[in-house]
Formats: sequence, structure tokens, C-alpha cells
Amino acid sequence: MKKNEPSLQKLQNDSVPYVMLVPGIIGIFFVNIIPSLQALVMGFHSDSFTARQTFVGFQKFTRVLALQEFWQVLGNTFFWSFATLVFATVLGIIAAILLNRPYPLKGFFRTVFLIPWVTPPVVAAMVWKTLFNETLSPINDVLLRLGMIDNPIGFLANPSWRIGPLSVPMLSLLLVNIWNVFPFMMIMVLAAMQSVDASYYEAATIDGAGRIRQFFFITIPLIMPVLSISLLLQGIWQFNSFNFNYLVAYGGPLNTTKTMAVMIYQKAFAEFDYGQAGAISAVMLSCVVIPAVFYIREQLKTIDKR
Amino acid sequence: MKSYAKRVRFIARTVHYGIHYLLLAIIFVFAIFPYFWMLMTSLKPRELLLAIPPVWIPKQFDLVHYLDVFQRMPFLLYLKNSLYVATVTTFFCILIACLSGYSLSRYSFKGKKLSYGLFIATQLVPGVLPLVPFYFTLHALRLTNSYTGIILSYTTWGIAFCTMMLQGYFKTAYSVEIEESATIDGCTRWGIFFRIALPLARPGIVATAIFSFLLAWNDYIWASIINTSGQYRLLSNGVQDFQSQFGNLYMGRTMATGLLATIPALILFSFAQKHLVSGLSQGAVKG
Amino acid sequence: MRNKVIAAMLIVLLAGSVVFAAGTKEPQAKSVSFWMQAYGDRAEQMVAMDTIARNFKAETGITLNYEIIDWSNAMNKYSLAMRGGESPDVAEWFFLTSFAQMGGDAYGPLQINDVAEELGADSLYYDAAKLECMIGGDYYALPWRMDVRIMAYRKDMFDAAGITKVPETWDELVQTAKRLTTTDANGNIQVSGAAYYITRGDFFQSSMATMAQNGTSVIDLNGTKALIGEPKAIEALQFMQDLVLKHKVMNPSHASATVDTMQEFLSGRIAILLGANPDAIKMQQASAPQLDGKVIGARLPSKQGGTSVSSIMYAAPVSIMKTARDVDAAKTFLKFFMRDENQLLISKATGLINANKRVMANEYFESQWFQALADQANFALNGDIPVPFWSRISAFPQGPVANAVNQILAGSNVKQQAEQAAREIERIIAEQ
Repeated sequence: MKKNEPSLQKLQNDSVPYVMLVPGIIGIFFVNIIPSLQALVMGFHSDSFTARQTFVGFQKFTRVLALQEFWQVLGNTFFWSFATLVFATVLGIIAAILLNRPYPLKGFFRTVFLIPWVTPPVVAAMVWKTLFNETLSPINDVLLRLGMIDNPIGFLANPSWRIGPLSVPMLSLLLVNIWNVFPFMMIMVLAAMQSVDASYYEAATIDGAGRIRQFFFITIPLIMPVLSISLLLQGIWQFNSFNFNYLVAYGGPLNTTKTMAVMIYQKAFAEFDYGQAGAISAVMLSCVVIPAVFYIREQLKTIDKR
Repeated sequence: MKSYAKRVRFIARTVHYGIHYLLLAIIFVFAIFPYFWMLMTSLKPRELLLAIPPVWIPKQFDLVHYLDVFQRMPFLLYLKNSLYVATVTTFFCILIACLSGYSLSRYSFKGKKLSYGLFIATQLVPGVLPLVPFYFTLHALRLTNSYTGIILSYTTWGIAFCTMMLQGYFKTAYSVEIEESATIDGCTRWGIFFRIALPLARPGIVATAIFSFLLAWNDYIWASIINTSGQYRLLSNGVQDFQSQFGNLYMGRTMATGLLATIPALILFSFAQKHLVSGLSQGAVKG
Repeated sequence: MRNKVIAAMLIVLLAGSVVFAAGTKEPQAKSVSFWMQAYGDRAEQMVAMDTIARNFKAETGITLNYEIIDWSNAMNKYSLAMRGGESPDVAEWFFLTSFAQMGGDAYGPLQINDVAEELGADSLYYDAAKLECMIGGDYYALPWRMDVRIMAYRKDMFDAAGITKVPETWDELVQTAKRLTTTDANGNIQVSGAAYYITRGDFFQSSMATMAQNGTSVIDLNGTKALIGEPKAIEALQFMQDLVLKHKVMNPSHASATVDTMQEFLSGRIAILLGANPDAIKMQQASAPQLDGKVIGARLPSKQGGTSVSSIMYAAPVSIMKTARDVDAAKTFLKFFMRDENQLLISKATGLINANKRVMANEYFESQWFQALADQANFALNGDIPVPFWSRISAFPQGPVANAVNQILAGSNVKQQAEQAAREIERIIAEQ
């Protein structure tokens, strides 16, 4: 860059980007990329990890796609991601709007609203299982006392009412997930809102725009970059969702709350069929690749700007 | 006429306040009710645990479940393990992610897009997928049942996401001109990194550190496969062990465990969360 | 200045973490590692194992490192161990034949005919228990506890309904359950007269018990064909479904495998629990002490009654692994663990009956509950059929048969589900 720079220092300076990247890249290679590739390769083998491992081509894939459970679970996963995103974002935005105003106690509320996100999944699953327990649920207790229902609702026990992926257990689990996810959306939106320049709003008020118009025409467009990134990230995370779907009801009853990640886990451990697990993962990755490519393209457009 | 307008404004404002706090209260109940239930159940005397209809607030508080928990679970050991693992993970993760994130944010070099793509690709993978092959790698290196193995796992999981976050912060925390003038003054790239980038992006770094800590604190599936020995067991696994099939049979204990397991995280978090918002708003995309 | 302080702190932290991580090494003294599953009330189990470990060290100088593994992790751990993952020296486990085949030559249980002979295993243990520990006539494990499934009922609810006779046949069970079932104005069941016990997240084991009550099973003992698609098994599965749909003595939510029927039983929403496991009494003492004396055990009713088999049982095999670091030390521990006094100690702590006939003669097992368990043991089939692919059939939770049973209890056509499960099993058999 500078003309009279000694060549050693230039070499040193030029190598800095690579040197900085090396630890990170090595790390993700060994813990993430290589094992994931290994797991995907297992999708083409039978009896993985044993001495009798054999290459079976696409046999595992065809077996997996022929399972009725597979399609049900795939539908569940898409529905799960979509519904979580929609409701958690709406709730998050509402909470962010409320917390953005300079009313007293907003710091306190902000702290409390973040608690669901900080709760370990194990603990959250445990307590929500109790809250959804047909006999012991306080939710049922309240509803019964108010006379809104005649019988306790079997939140996690009743797979009979079902339209595609929509069922009572699925809705119950969605409630748990929204409880857990909305603080993330809230905090992202709140942070974005707080970095919007106040002068925009002042100018709009002078021009006579009401608060609602200001929200839709100033706030939303300006927080859109952050919001869209958060939505995309959360969408991918939720597609891969494992924790609650496994811990609360093992994907039951009758696979109504199962997501793809749970199915992978069960095929791998309960049925010892790593081949099928690898095949399912390959399918999952191909679903996620398309939105991911969009994300990467968007990001790559901006990274070269200095 | 003036006082009429004042009254209208006063009523309007009160209604505004009312709706504001009503909505806040509803969300508050939604967010906090599970904790309320955990607390009450953990204090119920044994006979009331399975009562129908369920008891909301027991007339007498009984601490027996907490005593039971400490008798059956080396709680402090698990807590220490989790704290240790999460702290060391955060330390190394932030260290490495700052380096990678800064590199991706400011420099342009061959292979940048590829590296970028790699970091993002790791986000797409469900956590359970690389678990078993990696377990065998760790086992071959004799790193299962140790702190090192699990810290290694969590750190690298965190690096992918934290790098992404940090590269955004480095880009928006300060303008390029500051760096350019420093270069003209003769500062090396490393010098810029340590003296300009890190200090100016500090809020963002703190926010990322919080994410990383939570990642390590909340995980259970990797730890359950990689560690077997009770000596290295983490808190979330200890809690999970406790549940037998459904946990409802020992409900008082499981609720007590749940509360005890979350409180340390909550305490740490309440100190840190101020930085979370300021850090995030600093890093929020400004274009 | 501040940056320097921060830098110094970070260096101290880094150094400390390196030292810390490096400081944890494997114990130098002779030691044996032992994995055991969690039973009953953990505290008592831990106390008993600590006592055994202490006495073992005092007598032999060998340190015992035991781990209590929760059932939900156990399957993962052992399946990884059989493929070369982490493995204990001695393990108290299950699916012996399956894991042995999985482990192949390098991993898995060690043949221990010598230890068995020294302990006089042939005459010391109950037949059904021995069977679960043998592969091809050789001992690959020794049995310690016995897990028999029985019928548990609430005496207080029986008294309130004026019932004095305990049901012994399927018809009697239905009649008794009808008298105990209460419904509300809309016809919804408030209290189920009878319901099945869920184990390991599904109804698989309860369905096996019911099939045993009709004289059949999931597969034949040699593992050559599936019996679940045959009329007798279908009849048994139909009986299970009838309790929900036809006789209406079981609330549908008690048939969904996501509800803890033991909890429902203890909170008074189920009167008769079919297929309760032995540590039910421990659970009752821990979470419903007000029911002391009100939970009674009895033999499960079979279709015809009389002396027919009506249940299943498991004996936990304790094996030494081929990968044990010190096989002699492991054998010493196994012999120590199997001693009468230690078996009595651990059985008392876990509330389970024992496979050792001498131990069972102890007066501790004279309580009503234990006598009921011992009685049922005489009329029970082996729950784990010793064929290598058993682990795939009975994978938990929700293996292929368990899924079929879940569907059946939710109202699916019994014949269809049973035949589908049979096809799945035939496919697994064909792959062998």
C-alpha cells in the first residue's frame, strides 16, 4: 500500500487477515464442517461406525422418503418455523414499541421480558410440561373456574383434532417456543428502534403525521435491515429446532410435535440407523440452502464496502 | 375552554398510560408465570403436589424439596462446572471471534467470500448432526469426560455465530476514516486492531459475549453425549437426569432444581443486560 | 491503565484455565468403573452404592467409580460404547444379545462362565433371570434385580365402590373397571377404572404384557417370525383398545403416551394401573405419602385367569466389558457386588426384587407389595427376547411396535396397525 514500506513488514501486514482468520476457520472445520460432512456421507452407508459398514447408495434416502412419518414431520417443521416467526415477531415488536417509550419502569420490564430467553431449555421444558399437564395444569384450572371449558384440555395428550401439522399439542408447543423466542426478536427490534435518528420523527411530526403513520412509514422501513436478518436467522434456527420438540413430549403424541432434528436424533440413537439420520439431514440442508443463499448474497453485497 | 382542553389531554394521557401498562402487565404475566409456578410448587408440602384441582399458593411453605435436591444431586459441583465451562468458552470464543470478525469486516483479501460462506454454512446445520462423528473424534483424543472436550465443542459452536455478529459491529462501530488516518500515522494492522477496533466496539463485544455465555450455559445434548462422569457433569444435564420419565412424580424436587439452575444465570444476566441493548443498538445496521 | 488491568486479568484467567483443565487426570490407583441405571429414589441408591464402594475399597483396595445413568441417556451411551465410544469396565444394562452383536469382536460383554460357576449361578438365580444373561448357553452377564410388572390398585377406591374381589380374568377386569369409572354429566371420564402404565416413553412393555396374557408375544423366542400380526396378538391389542373405545373405562388422554399414568394413579384419576413397575411404592412414598397402605399389588389378570402367564419381567444383566482395563479387578468387583448382603442392600435401596433366590428368602421381601411381585414372577415371560435385533424392535421411545400400539390406543384399526408392525419386523428379521 505505501510505496516505501519494507517488504518484510508488507508481508506481515498482508498476512494479518489470514492470520486472524486461521483460529476461527480451524475451529469450525474440526467441530462443525468435517463431522457434518462425515454424518452426511453416512447417509449413503449402512451399519455406520461398525466393522460391517457397507455402501448402499441411495437406499437410505428412498427408505426415508417412503416413510409417512417423514412427510408429516417435514410439514410440522415448516409450520413450526413459520408460526414461531410470525407470532414471536409480532409479540416482540409490540413489546419493543412499549419499551421504547420513556415511561417509568421500562428497565425493569425489559429485564423481566428477557427472562424466558435466558431460561435453559431443560428447565423451560420441565415447567411447561407441568403447566400443560391435563390434570395438574393451572391453565386448565383457570379456564374451568371461569366456565370457559367443561373439561380439562389435554394440551399434550390429544392428537385427535388435527388439520395437517396443526393440532393441539403442536399449538401448545408453539406457545412454549414463542415464550422463549419473542425476547430475542424484541431486543433486536428495540435496539434497531433506538438507533433511529430522532430527527426523522421530529420532521414528520412537524409535517403533521400521526404516530401510527410514523410507525409504519418511518420506523418499519428503518428497522427493516435488522428485522430481516433476525427473521432469517431465527427462521433457520427454528427449522433446526430440537430442544423443546424433544424435551417436552419426545415428538409425540403420534409425531404431532416432532421436527426434523428430533427425527434425526431418534433414527441415530433409538434405531441405531445413522444412515437414515444422514439422509434426513441431507434433505434438511437442501431445504435451508435456498434462504441461506439469499442471506449470503445480501451479506456479500455489503462486505466489500469499506 | 383552556381547562376543558387540559382535562381532555389529561384523560387521554391517563388512558394512554393505562393501556401501556395493561399491555405490559399481560406480557409480564406471560413471561413470568412459569417461574411463579416453579416457585410455588417447589415450596408445596408433599401431600399437596398431586392435589386436584392444583394448589396455587400453599398455606404453608415447605423447604423439604430443596433439602431433597441437595441430598440427591451435587448441585454446587454441577454449578461450578457449568460456570467454569461457560466462562472459559466465552473467553476463547470472543477472542477468536474478534479476530475472525475483524478480519472479515475490514480487510479485502482472496478467499474472503469463501470464508464468509463457511461461517454462515455452519449456522445451517442442526446441532445434532455433527454430534456423533465429533464424539468419536473426541474419544480418540481422550477428551471425553473432561473440561477440555466440552469447552472445545462449545467454543467452536460459538465462533461461527459470534464472528457474524462481531463483523457487523466492527463495521458500524466507527468509520473507516479513523483507521485510515491511523495507517497514515504509521500504525500496523495489529496496532489498529488492538488500539482502535477493540475499544470502540466494546459494547458490541459485550453483547456477543453474553450470547456466547448463554449458548454454553443452556446446552445439554452435547454435554450429555460427551460427558458421562458425574465429576464433569453440567447443570443442565443434572437437571435433566432428575426428571425420570416425566418428572411429575418428584415434582417438588424438579421444580426446585429448575429454579436453582436458572437463578445464577439470571443474576449474571441482570448485570449484563444493560450492555446487551446498548451493544446491540450500536451494532444495529446503520446502512 | 485500565486496558492493562483488563489484559492482566485475561492472562490470569487463561493461565488458570489451562492449569485447571490439565489438572484433571485419570486416577492412578487400581480402579473399576461401573455404570448403573437410576432406580427408585436416587438418594437411597447413591447411599447404598457409596456403602458398597467403601466396603469394596476396604476389602480389596480397589476404588470403585460408579455412575448412575438416567434411562433416557442409557440407550445412547451403550450404543456408542458398542461402536468404540466410551465404555465402563462393568455395566448394569439391558438388550444383552443386541449389544453383544453390535459390539462384534472388539467391544461388548465378556464371557464369564468362570465367575458364574464360582457363584453357583445355575442354581442360585431364577430361570427367567438367567436366560436374559446368557448367549448361546454361555454366561455373558449375571442378573441382579428383577423387574416384574404387576397390577396396582387403589384400595381406598375399591372400598368406596364396595369391591372385594380382585379381578383375575379379562372379563372380571372389565366389570370391575366399569364399577370404578366415574364420568361427568357430559359422559367424559373423570376417573379411569383401569389404565396402562407407560415405561420409557411408550406402551410397548404394557402391550407385551397384554399379549402375554393371551399366550402370545411380539415375536417367537427364536426370532424367526413376527407373531404380532397373528390373531392372538391382534385380540390382545384389541382388548387394549376396547378399554378406551368400547368399554370406556380408560380416558383417551391416559392412552396417549404423553401422560404420566403413574402420576394420575397416585392423584386418584386412575383406579387400577396395569403393568405397574416395582419401584412404584418408592414413588408413592416420595410424592404421595398420604397413600401409605392404600396402594396394593396383585397379579395381572390374564384372559382365562387361573395359572396362565400374565406379565413380563426383566432381569438386569451385569456384564464385564471386553474393553475393561483390568479384567481381574472387574471380576473381583462383580463377585463382590453379587454377594448376598450387597444384593440385599441395593435391593432395599431401590425397592426392587432380586434375581438371587437366597436373597429373596429374606424377611424384607415379606411385605404385601413384594409378595405380589414374587408371585407374579412365577407367571411372567421374559420381556427382553434374547435375539440380536431385539433392540431395534423395542427401541425406546417409540420404536416400530410402540408406534403401532400408540396408534391403536388412539383408535386406529387394530388389524391394520398390527400387520404393518409385523411387516416392519419381518423386514428387520430379513436384514439379519
